[in-house]
Amino acid sequence: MIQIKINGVQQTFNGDSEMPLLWYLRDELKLTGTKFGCGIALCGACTVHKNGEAIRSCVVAMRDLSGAEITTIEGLESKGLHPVQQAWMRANVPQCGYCQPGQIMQAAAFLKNQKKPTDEQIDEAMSGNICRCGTYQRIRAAIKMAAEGSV
Amino acid sequence: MNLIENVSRRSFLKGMVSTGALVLGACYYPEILRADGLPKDTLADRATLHPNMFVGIDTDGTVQIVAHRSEMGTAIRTSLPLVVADELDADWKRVKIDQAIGDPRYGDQNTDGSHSIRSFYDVMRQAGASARFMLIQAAAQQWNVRPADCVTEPHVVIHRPSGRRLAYGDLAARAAKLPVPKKNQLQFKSPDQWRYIGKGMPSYDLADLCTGKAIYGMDARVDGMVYASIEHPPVFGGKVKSYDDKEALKVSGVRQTIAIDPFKPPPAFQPLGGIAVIADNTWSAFQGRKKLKVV
Repeated sequence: MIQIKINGVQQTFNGDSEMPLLWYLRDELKLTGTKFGCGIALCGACTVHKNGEAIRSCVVAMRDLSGAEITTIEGLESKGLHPVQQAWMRANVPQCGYCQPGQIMQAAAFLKNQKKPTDEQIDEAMSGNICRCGTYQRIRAAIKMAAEGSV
Repeated sequence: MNLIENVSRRSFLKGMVSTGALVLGACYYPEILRADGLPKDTLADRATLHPNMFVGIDTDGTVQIVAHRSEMGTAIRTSLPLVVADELDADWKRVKIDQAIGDPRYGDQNTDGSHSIRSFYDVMRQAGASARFMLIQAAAQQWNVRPADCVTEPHVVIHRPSGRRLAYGDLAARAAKLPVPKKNQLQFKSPDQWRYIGKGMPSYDLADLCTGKAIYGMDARVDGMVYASIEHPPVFGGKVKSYDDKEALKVSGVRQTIAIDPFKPPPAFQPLGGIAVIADNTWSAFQGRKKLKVV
């Protein structure tokens, strides 16, 4: 039995403890904003926050999450939009949008620790989040907007 | 050849627009959509009934535009309704996009081949322009003036000589009683009058895409649903000789396995054959699939 907090709500997990968090979120809690991309932590589509840090939920087993606090795209901001989401809208970042919940969660965690990132720091922090539509320039612009508070 | 008919007295759009609202349906015969250069080798290209596009205007001014193509990341469900809204001279903020379900009345909805704009641009313009025509007629009738003296601005008809204005919503009921214009009666906007076409509008779904609310195919959830993962033959069109699912069925959460026959040529869009492992969640299905012994 695993106790875990998801978006502020205490949950008890009784299933296969080897199961990655991603499938618990998507299939059991129906939090489908977190996406399945590669299943091996290479694309970033499944990024969520564990105790405030960005993790790839497709490779983190439930047994390693006892007592953890998880935040998904659905819980990033309880009221309205998070500044990163506002910046994403202002910069019109998404095309198909499939990778964007992961991109946004990665960027939100990054900006907590890096208030004034350079292009190089942005590229490094975001290099594990792949976008097949190629929205990287807009992602970078949105992160700068969010960092500058110009949203 | 094309035919636009007033369907407001029918239940075509049950629940979509309120009683008394103006509803237009644009129905097109296949030949207009069979543009030269389109491939003829898919089910879509061979379809005899082609998609319809509908625009509905509620008495509260809400404009409902049906997106009959599938969204796959190009924002087609924004682009085509934008064309309707432009010719209708609708206020985009008051437009609601109603995603069509799969239904024969829309014809073949297989959204592929990068031709949704090419094939339906004129259709969308006619659907919007027809509604605008009827709204102008209705306003002219109400004011007892010449339609030619009336113009539109977003969501409103204006009688130019007197400056009187009537909102689209207030005209919807009257317009619904008028005959639908023929194509040669329609006045299309000139490109310099476009408000949306070619203006780089954001996706209708932008907010949903930034908040995880957008529903992709893989996100569909229905009550009682289970999850499957399919082991396909390593060769296209290959057939399973035999398989052993004893170990797969021992995996926690796995319910059953099902053998899927290979397609009969030509493959078209038929499913590939293989063994489906059905489970309570995706992870269990993946694990069960790894335990299959397939020959």
